[in-house]
Amino acid sequence: MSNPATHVGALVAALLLGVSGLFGGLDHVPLADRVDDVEPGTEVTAEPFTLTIKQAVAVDQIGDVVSPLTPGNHLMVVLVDAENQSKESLSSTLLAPVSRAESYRNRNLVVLDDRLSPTTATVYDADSNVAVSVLSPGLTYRLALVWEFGGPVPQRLPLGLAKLTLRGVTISQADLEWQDPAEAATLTLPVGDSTKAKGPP
Amino acid sequence: MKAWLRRNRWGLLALPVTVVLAVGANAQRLHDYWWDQDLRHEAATGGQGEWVAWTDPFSDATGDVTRTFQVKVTGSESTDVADSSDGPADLDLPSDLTGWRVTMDFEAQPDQVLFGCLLALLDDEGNRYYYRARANKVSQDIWPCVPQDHPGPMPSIEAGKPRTVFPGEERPSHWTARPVVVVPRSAKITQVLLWWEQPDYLAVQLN
Amino acid sequence: MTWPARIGAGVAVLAALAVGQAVDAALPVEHTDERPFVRAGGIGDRVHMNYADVTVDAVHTAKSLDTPQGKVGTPGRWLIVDVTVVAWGRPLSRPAMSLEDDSGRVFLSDPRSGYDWSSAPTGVRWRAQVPFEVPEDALHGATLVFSRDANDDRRDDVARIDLGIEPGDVAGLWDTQQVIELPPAQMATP
Repeated sequence: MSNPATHVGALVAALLLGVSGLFGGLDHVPLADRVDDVEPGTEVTAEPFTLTIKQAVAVDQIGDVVSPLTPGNHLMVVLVDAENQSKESLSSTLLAPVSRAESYRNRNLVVLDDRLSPTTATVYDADSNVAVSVLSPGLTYRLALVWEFGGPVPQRLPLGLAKLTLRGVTISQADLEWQDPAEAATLTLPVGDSTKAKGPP
Repeated sequence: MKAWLRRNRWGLLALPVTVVLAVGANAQRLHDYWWDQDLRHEAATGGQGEWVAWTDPFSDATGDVTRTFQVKVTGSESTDVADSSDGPADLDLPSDLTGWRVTMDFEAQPDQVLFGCLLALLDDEGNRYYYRARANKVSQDIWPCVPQDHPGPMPSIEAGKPRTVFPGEERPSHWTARPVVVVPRSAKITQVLLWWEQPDYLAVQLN
Repeated sequence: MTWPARIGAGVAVLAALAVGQAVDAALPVEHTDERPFVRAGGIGDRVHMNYADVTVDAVHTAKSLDTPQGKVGTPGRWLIVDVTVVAWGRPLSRPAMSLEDDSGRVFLSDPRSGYDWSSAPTGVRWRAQVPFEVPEDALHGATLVFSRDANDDRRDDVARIDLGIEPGDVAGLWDTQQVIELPPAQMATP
């Protein structure tokens, strides 16, 4: 796609989606009045999960297992306790955070600072650093949500929590999926800095 | 009544033809998702001990081409060993299973693409036993129908580039293959099937 | 057309419509019965289906699994079901296995467990150890559900095998410190 008009178009679309999507600014009721802002460490219900978002830390890599693809980028790690409250095993992708522009997707977490937004986030078991795909019902998992970001390490990470509803898929009503994200809460995490390269002296 | 029939005779004759055409014209899914998804077309067939020739059309990045070869099944029997890269090796199977070896002589021009062949045995109950390189503890050659380490040319995967043979992998014009498939000891093996792209295959009736 | 012929044609059309309505009312499309055929059994039973025979040989638990990526724990326990499967007709490449507890919750296996099915060759006794991670209240009354395909079991055979976990067994199963390495699915030796 080398047509500059397409570039500009894509940027404008992302901006519009970001502003008009979930947790965006187009609603005449301000975000702070629409949903509760909760403290880190509080248990929040964001169907189908109960989430306790504990802390965020920026690192250069995780063991030998995870490193940023682009040199110079850091990894954002968000530690979350998540309990699957539904009656079936769920895909961990539901908890992989997305940017505001992608908040229309069926996901529970949105990163509200566009500079820190994930391209792709991965969900790991925080105790073993192994990626988790399936979250069984009735269990509280200790997870690390990890994605790459560029630029300096921020002081704060603002997150939006969305709840989903179990509904029939359009083309086949008998197949149920968790869809229709709706704002549930917001939360701002202070970001711990465990990176080595601390910027120019 | 008769007058009506007479006036409409061509329409009535055309009616069954039109119905068939209408259904057939909408059968693309039946073709793509059913016909092409299994071995449905016996393109070549013969008996054990006779040469069976097959010219199988296929396409790669150079366009539509064919592969032509002849195969003769000279043996079909139960066995306890299979050929690994270090020579014959014991299959070490439990008592309810056995190895079944089909010995085949092949003849083909060295430039024919026979790389990627697949093989299965059929028994008298319709069970299909697929060839696997790994037969319990023994690692046989990946392809059941070409000489080990000499498979000959591979299909072209980039438009404009001709088919290549890696140096040292040229295939002779005659060779013998002896693949072994693990089957239940009680199975009565009746046919061996060879194919590349579904739905076309070659079948040899076994004694 | 003459008048009686016109009226006759009109009546015929209306009659055809009425018959169509009646058929649709009596046999509505939504009520087409697509339920799978359930074959039930218990531990040790060879459950016969048209595409495979399935036997649950044993059930055990572990606290963590030793995988190529290291030791993998779980907030619950790993419930491991040992199965022997014989495929009929064709190799069984991607059967769907799930665990159902007595309140109807459905548990699936996670790839981080190192679980690997491989395709079961036709006619060969194929042994696998299938891991599920479960909370304590899912153990009693747990059932293994085995079907040919994860996406589509309409009018197909499905096996439901009761794992035979009684209330008295739960504490023993839950109290495990075991670390187990799951072997890949393979031919059953005698």
